[in-house]
Amino acid sequence: MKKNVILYLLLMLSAGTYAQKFTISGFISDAGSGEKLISATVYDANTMRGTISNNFGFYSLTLPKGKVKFTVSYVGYKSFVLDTDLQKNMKLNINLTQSIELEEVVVTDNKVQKQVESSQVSVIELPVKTLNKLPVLFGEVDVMKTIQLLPGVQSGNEGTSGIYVRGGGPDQNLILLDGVPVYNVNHLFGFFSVFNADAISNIKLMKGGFPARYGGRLSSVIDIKMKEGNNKKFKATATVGLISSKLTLEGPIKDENTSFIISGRRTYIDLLIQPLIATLGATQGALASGGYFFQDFNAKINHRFSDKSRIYLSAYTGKDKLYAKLTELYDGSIFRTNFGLEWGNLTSTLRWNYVFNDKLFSNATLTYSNYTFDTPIEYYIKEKLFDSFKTESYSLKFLSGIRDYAFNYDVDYIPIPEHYIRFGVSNTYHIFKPGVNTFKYKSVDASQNRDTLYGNSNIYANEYSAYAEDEFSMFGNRLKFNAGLRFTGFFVKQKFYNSFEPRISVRARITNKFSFKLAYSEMSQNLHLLTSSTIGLPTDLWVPTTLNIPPQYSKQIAGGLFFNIKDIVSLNFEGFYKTMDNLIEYKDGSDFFSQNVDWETKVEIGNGLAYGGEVYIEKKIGRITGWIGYTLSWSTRTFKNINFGKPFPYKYDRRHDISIVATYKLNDNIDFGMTWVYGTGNATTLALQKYAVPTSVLDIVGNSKFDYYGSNYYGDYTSPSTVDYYESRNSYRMPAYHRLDLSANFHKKVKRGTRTWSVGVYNAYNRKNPMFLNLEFSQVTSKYNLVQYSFFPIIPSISYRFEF
Amino acid sequence: MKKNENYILLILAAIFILSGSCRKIIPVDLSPKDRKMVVNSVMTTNMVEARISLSIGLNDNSQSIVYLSSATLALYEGKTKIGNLNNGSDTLAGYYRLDNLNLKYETRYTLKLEDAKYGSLTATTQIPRPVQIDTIVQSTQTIGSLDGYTNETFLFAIQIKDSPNQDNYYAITDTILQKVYDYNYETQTDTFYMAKNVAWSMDTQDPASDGSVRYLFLFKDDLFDGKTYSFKINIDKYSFNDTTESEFYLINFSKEYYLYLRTMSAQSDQDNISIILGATPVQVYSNVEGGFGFFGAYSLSSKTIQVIGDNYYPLE
Repeated sequence: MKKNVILYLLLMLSAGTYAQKFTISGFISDAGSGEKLISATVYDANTMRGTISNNFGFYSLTLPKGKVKFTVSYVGYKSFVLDTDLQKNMKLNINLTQSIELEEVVVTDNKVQKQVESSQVSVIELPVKTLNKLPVLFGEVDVMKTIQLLPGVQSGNEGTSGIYVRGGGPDQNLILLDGVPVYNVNHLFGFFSVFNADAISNIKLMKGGFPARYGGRLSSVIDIKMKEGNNKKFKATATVGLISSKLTLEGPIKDENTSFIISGRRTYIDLLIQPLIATLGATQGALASGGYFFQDFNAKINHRFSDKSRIYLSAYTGKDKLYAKLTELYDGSIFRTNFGLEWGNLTSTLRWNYVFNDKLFSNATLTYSNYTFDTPIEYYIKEKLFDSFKTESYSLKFLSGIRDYAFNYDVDYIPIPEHYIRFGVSNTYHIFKPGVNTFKYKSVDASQNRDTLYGNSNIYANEYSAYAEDEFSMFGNRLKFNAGLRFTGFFVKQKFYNSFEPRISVRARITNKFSFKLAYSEMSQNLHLLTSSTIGLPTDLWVPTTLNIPPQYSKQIAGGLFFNIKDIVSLNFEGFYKTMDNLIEYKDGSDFFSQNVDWETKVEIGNGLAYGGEVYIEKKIGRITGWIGYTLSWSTRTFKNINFGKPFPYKYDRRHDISIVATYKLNDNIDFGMTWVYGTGNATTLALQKYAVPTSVLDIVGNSKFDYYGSNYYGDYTSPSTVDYYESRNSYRMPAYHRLDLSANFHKKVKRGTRTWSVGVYNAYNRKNPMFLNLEFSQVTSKYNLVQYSFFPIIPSISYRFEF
Repeated sequence: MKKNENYILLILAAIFILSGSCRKIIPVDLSPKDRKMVVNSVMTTNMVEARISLSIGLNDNSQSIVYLSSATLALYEGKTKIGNLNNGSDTLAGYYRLDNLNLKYETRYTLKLEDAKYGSLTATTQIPRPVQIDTIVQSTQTIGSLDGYTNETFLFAIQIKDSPNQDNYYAITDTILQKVYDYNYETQTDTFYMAKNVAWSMDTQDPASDGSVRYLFLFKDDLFDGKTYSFKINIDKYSFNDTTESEFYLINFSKEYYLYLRTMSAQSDQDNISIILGATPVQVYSNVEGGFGFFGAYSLSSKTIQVIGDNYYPLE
């Protein structure tokens, strides 16, 4: 049996090698900026054998010698066609020029057909250009909020950037920025994400059918690539918005071999509200200041040593800071309080691409990532005592975070067009800081001074992985497979966990315009996110698998039908069934703020189940572009000690989820954007009844020997108290969520460049969508009311953008 | 200039919207269709007692507890009726009791409640076999507090032998023979007497600890099923007047009673802010079918030791 398999593999590898063959290889770039084009289609139009460019724009296509119609295409670009007589290996770097999009049908890379051809299921590439055209909250272009509009992806609460893919949790998304995991993607409690769209070149979302090269999370991979920087000419883009401004600079250094990009963004809410806070403080007789801001900074530089060798260095740093200072002066004494919340990410990547030969491409990466959350609180007192002063100060600080050092080595080997082989290894060293408190006290009397550290100690862990996968086609490309295996090991606190994760996907092309796909993947995850909030609070703790908390594990089957309608519209139907084991949740009554310092004692371990169907209709070409997404899904959780062991709906179990996204280009100067979303209300838990329970233990009416001093001294234990009755966890549904956003962009070529005015309306028909529900007692009617709190009514926005 | 002013106003309006929130009352009928009967009942080998009331709808006109004193409440072993509980208290409405029983350990008993107006309900539980305390080892431990100060406490390791192949649900507490002052308001004088009272300054960091209710530390045998285990509690040394008796109690709860106590305590400890921020409210466990409340059982064992205290308040 084993011999047969080896023989088969050898036959597969040698298929088509009887005729003499030559290889055309090189990089595909944008002619205007030099940016590498990812997933561009490369094929011989005579034989229709082809491949696609990889994440670094590299391609390799081996063809029989003789006449070929070598063609390269990419959506929005004019195709490159070369008729040649292939008699030797060729190095061919190709620069594609952008096409005019107004034409109804332009000669483009057929992205519609690519959906039908690809062996991958549940993958959507998000065009970055579309991001700037869509209406957004406060005019802030947001990558994560646009991803929320795709089928299979659910948003969390109103206005937040959290995403929940196919019933998974927010920690189950591997969000990569230039290959580095970003742990906290939220600014301003989740209302904005950390990704600055001006610095991004490519976004890919995977919800299932994961290739073996991806791992470490259960539910999705969001692969975000930063721009490399224009290597043809210097370019600047500045945007001034309602709450923030952005500036991006990019260009070549000396020559086309080296280019850079830097991009920064900062909000100015704090500067604007400073006078208000000072005035409020003055009315209370105090000096007050405070505010909130977030900022991001992206930078990348790359240098091409030769056609074979290129190096990249990229970095991202972002920070949120909420701060308040209050100083009170009273009869010569000073009382000062400082309070803050600070959190942020720092990621950096050093990458080396090396082309060994025209069929073998390698990518070595060193990465560093650090996420910290810090809550400094300080008190300073200088108290006047007759003729002297008594000075003392306290400070209390909570610090948590996660730090990673990683090395990855990936190889692409393309022996023949029928096979695309990838393999690689990686190692990540994690340092988890689940929460440390420092307490300092300083006074005149040095013997009273304190400097104490307490809380959870750091946890050190090493994560290894290795993978191999082959994407191969058979029967004249009618059948295409991606088969792979990933090994993951995790070493923590003298305990070693490992898993082998098989991945397979298959595409059967029924006709040229219609294919059927099926995929099975197993995923493991050695990190958990302990979260008790529904908004993106930085108090969410990243914690590792430990002796008592095993790794999360999922198995997912996904499949679907993919249609290409007249090369203009793609129509996809997908279904999925996913099981998730070893999920964690806070125990009933526990949360981040509960007193017990050991997080492991505060969690329960359980399982999850999600299944459903998705419809995705996308139009990529023409004046009107956009998509309609619909998801019908179920997502439940089962924990032994939550809901008394019975399954309950996941917080973001959403039966129906609809998104309609459209852009309309009126002419070169004006375009419009529109999104409409609808979602079944989130599941929540409400008590509509209460009932009496005894206040004593071991008996019903008091006199317990275990009440302090018996019932005669403290309280009357014959009187019962009441408890609230909750029928079941998450058994109540909030009202449905729906919202319409509109935008218009007005472009104009001016003397030195192009300026764009963008105006938009968020929540155009002023729908009051629920953020949370609360039962409140009315003194007027003497009845309880169910009160809904919403955050965002109709909100207009305006921004100004200038490019030169 | 005018343009700039307008722009600033627009910015301020946007910030105001961001910082504010919209409140809307959702028209929902919050009144439950039916009031349910509630039975809270505790059983030992020689007695069973219960109190019966009605649940209260969120929007009921009266929010006070209504007790039922005309219902029929009976205890069964399987299909065999053991007896009716008597509604024998004039002062405690809805209170029922049946004494002088000789019930068996680890046997399922069912409580059946019937009322002409509100229908019927049932609940089932069993009395766990008592588990003895093997030994109690006392030592002194220094504990650091959050503000950097340290405090000396007594650490008691209470060793028990857990029964194998069954889930056990425990609680531990301690009572101390103490001098108790009693102030007489009429005569304006202090008197004192000796009494065994629960040690109020108890704490535990034991890994098996599963919370507490009143002065009882709850724990399950998940970590030591069928094995010997020492549960550790700290008691402030000033709780002990002198060399005195300290009696430790080990309560073995039925699963139903334990889950009720654990969840009832967790719900009462949970604050509304954490729920608004997204924490899920705690459901109180109920094993009553057709109504609310609980039917639980327990058995008790104890062990007394002599503790040399700190002589802070010497016994006379």
